[in-house]
Amino acid sequence: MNAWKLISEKIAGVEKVFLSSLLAAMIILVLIQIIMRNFFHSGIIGGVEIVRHLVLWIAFVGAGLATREGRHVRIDMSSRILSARGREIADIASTLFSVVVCSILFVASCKFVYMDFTSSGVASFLNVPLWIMEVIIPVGYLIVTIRFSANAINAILRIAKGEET
Amino acid sequence: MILLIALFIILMALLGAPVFVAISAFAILGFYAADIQMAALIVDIYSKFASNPVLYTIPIFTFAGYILAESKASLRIVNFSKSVLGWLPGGLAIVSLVACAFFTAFTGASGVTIIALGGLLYPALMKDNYSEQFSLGLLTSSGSLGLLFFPSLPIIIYGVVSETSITQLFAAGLLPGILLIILLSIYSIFAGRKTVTTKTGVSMGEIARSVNEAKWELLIPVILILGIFGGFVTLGEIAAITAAYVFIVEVFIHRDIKIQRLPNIMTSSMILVGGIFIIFGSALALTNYLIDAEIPMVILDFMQAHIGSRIVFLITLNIFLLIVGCVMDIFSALLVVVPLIVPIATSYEISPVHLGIIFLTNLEIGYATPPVGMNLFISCFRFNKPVITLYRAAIPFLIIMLIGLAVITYVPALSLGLIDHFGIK
Repeated sequence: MNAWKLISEKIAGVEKVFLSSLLAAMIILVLIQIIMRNFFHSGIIGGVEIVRHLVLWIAFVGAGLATREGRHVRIDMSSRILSARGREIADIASTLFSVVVCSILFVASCKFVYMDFTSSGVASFLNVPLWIMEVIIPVGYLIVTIRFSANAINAILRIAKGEET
Repeated sequence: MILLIALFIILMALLGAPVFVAISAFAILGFYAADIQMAALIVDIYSKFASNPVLYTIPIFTFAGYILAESKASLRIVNFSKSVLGWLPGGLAIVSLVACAFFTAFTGASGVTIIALGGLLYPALMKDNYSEQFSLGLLTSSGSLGLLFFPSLPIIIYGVVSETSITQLFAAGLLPGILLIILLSIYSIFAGRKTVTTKTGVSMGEIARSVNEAKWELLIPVILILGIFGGFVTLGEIAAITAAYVFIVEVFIHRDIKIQRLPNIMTSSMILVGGIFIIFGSALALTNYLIDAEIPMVILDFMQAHIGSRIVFLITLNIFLLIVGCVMDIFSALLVVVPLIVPIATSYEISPVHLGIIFLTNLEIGYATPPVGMNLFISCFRFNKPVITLYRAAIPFLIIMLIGLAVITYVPALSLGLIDHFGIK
């Protein structure tokens, strides 16, 4: 159990470094473009495109971490009405539901990326294949699905243990 | 069957499933019912990211806001406003309003204002003999004040979703935002007339000192106004310049933030952005589907059959949005409701820019409206008071903000005047 915790912390650490790097890269890229445009009357080829894709990556890497830290936006009426036990059950039900929905999104996004993989389109930025720029969508949904599953399993185990004692 | 599943999704959302999951589930359900491939849903999500020219300003401004919130900028801004306004009756309350508005504009009413400024202002208000009830109500309702000022994230998101000029929205929010602050200030002067102001007059020396302390932060609005309305740079570029500026000021000049803490601030702000953006993708895919299924047309026909005049429509809109503001957070509300309402409002000859200001003012009020307005719970947590106390404390402020809302809604010139006068595009 502790080994799992350690591994998941390490992975989250890598994601955090990656997420900060994406943001830094985006800000620096925009600043470079301002300088290039105003002083050299030029720009980075495909710069606009790469910035928009950085946003996409920030969105999905950030969402993956938001799942880990329980920072997704919720309406969350139940926690103010239900008892402690009711809340545990509501948690498990809604988390399992999230697992199902995110799995569907994962499969759908795999299909989407596969379409661009077979059509072998390229971005104007350094001719990077389009599918590589898009691959964060399935990866992001996969991470979210795995984290929701882990949360659901943990919650069920907690209840099971609680009932035995 | 479809209806049953829809009800099930709503139940799951109420039980605590994240908003993005619920919205995605609705989109999946819609695509399934219309027999469209699921991959098309992802195409919708992807194309929203790949085609939007201003989306990238959101992470950059959020990062800048987080740096400001983590630094001692709040203290300097409060000291500055105190030296200028502190001598007025109710001065400290007005200081709170102004400082909160400044902060919310940067942090987008994500609760950061109450957390960052509450600890500073609440003890000060109590020390100046403001009643507990007044102080709590003031800080709770100010937690979303400033939403109408640029570069607040909700304004940018409204612009993105409704495809309205963000520059126009920024200009449109100025006067209504100031109106709300003035109305609340008048009430504060009235409520503060019996308090002991610790200061008697304006001291030029003190103003000079506090201006000197806060000068770097005070320049931020100047940079923003020049950048946005000057026309030299794009909105995205002004975001990057602002972030770089705030970074240099707080990390190198004031040295409030150690460079080692920076990764934490970056991650924390981007996790918030990730949480909003994952809703963004699904919500826009869902509205694409709803528009294809002509749902807005159905609502429109229904409205036109029952609501004849523009005024009645606006009243209905206000009531509807106040309810939305109570139960939904501001970002989900914008993403889901705006695309459905814009075409309807247009048919009643309400400009999308004015609608945006109405919308955001409503949500701002909804944030502090019992029973479930989010600011109430943030304050409840921050000041360690029972939520019932906060309900009572918020009511006078809500009434004043509702008066402001009525003016903003029924006097379009307040929002549109600056745009027409200066021909802002």
